[in-house]
Amino acid sequence: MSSPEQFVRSPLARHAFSLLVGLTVGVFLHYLLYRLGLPIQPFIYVAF
Amino acid sequence: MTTKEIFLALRTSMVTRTVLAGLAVGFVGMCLLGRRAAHTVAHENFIRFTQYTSPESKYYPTVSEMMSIVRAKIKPGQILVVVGGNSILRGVAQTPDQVWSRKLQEKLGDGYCVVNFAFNSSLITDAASVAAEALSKEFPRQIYIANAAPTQAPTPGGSSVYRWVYWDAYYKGLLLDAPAREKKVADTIYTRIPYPDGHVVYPFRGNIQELKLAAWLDSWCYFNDFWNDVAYEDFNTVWGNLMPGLADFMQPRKNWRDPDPDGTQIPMTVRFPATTLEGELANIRGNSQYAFNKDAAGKWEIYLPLWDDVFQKGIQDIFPPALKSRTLILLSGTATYYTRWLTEDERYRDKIAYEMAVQRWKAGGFDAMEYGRDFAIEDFYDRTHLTATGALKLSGMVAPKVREMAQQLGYLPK
Amino acid sequence: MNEFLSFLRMAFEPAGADEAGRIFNTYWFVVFAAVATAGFWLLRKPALRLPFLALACVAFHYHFAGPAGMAPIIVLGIVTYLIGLTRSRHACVAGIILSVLALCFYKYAHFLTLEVLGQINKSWGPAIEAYARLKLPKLASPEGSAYLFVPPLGMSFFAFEFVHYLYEVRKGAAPLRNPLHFTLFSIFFPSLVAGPIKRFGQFIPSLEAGASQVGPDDVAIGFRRIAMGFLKKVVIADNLTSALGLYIGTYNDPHVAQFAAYGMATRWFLLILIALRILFDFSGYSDIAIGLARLLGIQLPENFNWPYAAKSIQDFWQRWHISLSSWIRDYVYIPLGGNRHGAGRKILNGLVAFALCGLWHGAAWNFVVWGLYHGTGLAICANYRALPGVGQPLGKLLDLAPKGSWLLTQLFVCLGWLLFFYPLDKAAQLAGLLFGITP
Repeated sequence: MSSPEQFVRSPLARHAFSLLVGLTVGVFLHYLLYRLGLPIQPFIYVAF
Repeated sequence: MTTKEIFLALRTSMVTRTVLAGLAVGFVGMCLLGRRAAHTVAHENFIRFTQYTSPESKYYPTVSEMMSIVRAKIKPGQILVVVGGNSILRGVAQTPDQVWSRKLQEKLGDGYCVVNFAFNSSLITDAASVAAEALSKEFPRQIYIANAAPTQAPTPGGSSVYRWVYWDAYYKGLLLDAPAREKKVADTIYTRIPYPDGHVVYPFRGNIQELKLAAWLDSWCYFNDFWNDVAYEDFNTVWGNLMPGLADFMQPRKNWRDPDPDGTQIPMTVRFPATTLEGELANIRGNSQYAFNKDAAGKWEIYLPLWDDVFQKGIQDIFPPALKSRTLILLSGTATYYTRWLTEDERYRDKIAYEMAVQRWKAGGFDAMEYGRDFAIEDFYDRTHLTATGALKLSGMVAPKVREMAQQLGYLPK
Repeated sequence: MNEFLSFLRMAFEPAGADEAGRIFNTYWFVVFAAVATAGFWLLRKPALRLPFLALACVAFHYHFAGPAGMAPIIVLGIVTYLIGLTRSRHACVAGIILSVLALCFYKYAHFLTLEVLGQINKSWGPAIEAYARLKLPKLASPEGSAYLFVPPLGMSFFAFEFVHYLYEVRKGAAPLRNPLHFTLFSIFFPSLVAGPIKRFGQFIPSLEAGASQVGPDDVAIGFRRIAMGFLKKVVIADNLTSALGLYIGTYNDPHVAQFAAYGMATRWFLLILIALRILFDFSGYSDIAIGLARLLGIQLPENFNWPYAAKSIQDFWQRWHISLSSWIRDYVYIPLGGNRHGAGRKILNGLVAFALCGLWHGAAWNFVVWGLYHGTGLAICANYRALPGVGQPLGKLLDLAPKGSWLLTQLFVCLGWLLFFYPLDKAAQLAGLLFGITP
């Protein structure tokens, strides 16, 4: 059994984590398209 | 290694192409799931849209959602009755058990399926009419009911709050072919208001452009159907001022009970406060005062430009021609509590305004009827909304009319 | 195809009023950003990428600012560019003054006439305003607005970037000769509306690097950053704004009586929500801007670095709106003399710099007081150890208990947000209630 350090640096862990991050971003961008259609607050700093 | 160290190690050693592949798979996967949700999201035991499932609390039902509700509810062989219109027909001040459309269902019996898609302040051309039209090929035996004031012209494509449903259906290819309506809607976008200093305002353009883009993107990505489904069934992510407290706002919307009160339990002094009498009378007079002038003999004669505006131009192309005859317009009467304060002359003017509006709607190819003139004081919750007793009376008036229309439209065996 | 053509037509029409302030949060922007970034990637050659990007920036600027909002920026930009080319020190000073005057004209005319002149003679302000409206009707904003003249979109950010440019050229930096570079420095769409405030010495090399080397790494990092920004904005900040609206009321009209009805714990909880709301709203915006630029392979300066982890006021300003605080340091504080003329002058310079920093956020006294509040905090923080008797022991105590420093710093910052968001009298009442003082 490899140590946690080795596992974290293994291609499997790196690809799995990368895929998870990508999936999360993809899902969130889909949610964002839904959210933009709802009443939304203006950015505070745009007024400055 | 601590969890933080593991996370940092993973974060700094991400594989770019895998991240991008995940992103693409995640986004496209969501679009496909959304496409599926469009055919499955149906509010179980649906009675009406509540304040928690309407734009008041940042929930915008989609046309697919409404179609799914109908499909889940309707039984084979039933005639579909879609209720649209505003808060009066939504059943404000009626509890879910008292809603007039439920009473209508009971009176019409098993041969009909009544679905209430009315929203507060919505017009004849808003969400419910779009859903009915989108279902017109699938359920051709249908009747659409909505309400209006006597000289109120609906905006083609819907009012500013609810017109997203029109564009939603438009880009999903669910509307019938209606070039005249499309032209009218396009003209609305470029409505110009010129100001004396020379600048021109386009009140609808920005709003409609954004709606169009949203609906166009949604026709590819189905984000509204998917995330509405999540908000309704699983968890809510959007705060709205009408929501229960901060702690509960993530609850799925299906858990929030329909909050409309039983209007009969609210004291008359609250329903008809003396302080608002003059304002409410002005509103009631407004239904007819600009529609008539007095002639030399002191008789009311109609002010043609206004009637022509509403009934020649206003209602002509709001629906595809084939859908006019299956539409029943209810001219909503006003509370007897207030009308008794009108002069005899004003009451007469009010009466002929309603009668003329019924005639004009009928002449335009629709069916129409008025209600409320003979209702008792307690049948109204306020100037326009009905209590449970009013709801019963309304359903009692509308049910035979619906049967009559079904007969005339050839929905029933001869 | 029809939809694409319709979009193109919309791209060259000014936005509707309901899009004001939403910018990145519009479908128009989503489609625009998709077209602009995809076009940029597909063009491959830097010689084509930069003109394409400039064209996209013009479309963005025109859509959100309209012709009236674009015109003053174009004039100011052309003047700044030409002055830069002359490398004349006097011309640069004149250009800096012009940018500052333009900023004052658009953002502070109302404040200066009614609030500042009004302190001397109450009738002067309205008289000057009426005259200005009569003489410049096309520039005047509607009666009752916070501004006398309608400020062009992003005016404060344009002015600061142009001042920075001319100041550096005056000091000897090489000006931007390539008009495309100057155009992109001025109206680069990710940072056009609300920063981060760029430095041309850093931006132009990054722009060129992006045009020639943008790759999948940039795209992946860009998307992650954009997603993080929108998460902060739409999921956290917007929900907090709606909730705060319900529990406290709007910016101009906080419900003090409602606030007083809450228990002490709830009041402090709401103050924390106010602090989180502005952090997530603005750092979300900055993340989106930085992420968008990164999609093009271009690096914008960072604006936030965990500001609520700061253990002193100096530390806070090195972590909060970094591009603004460093601008104020370089172009206000240091030119005023910085810390070069003794402790008293240093404190005075700091107060002036912070008062201007406050005023930059809005033409109202509460912003000035907020700036002075931070300036004072900074002065105390930097000098308290020199106080005879208590200074040294207190400093040692805080060194031994860094959590205490953190708590004091964040208490100071959070209370400051009341001044930032609410009118002075209401802010004082709300602050009093946090300590049990009922108005």
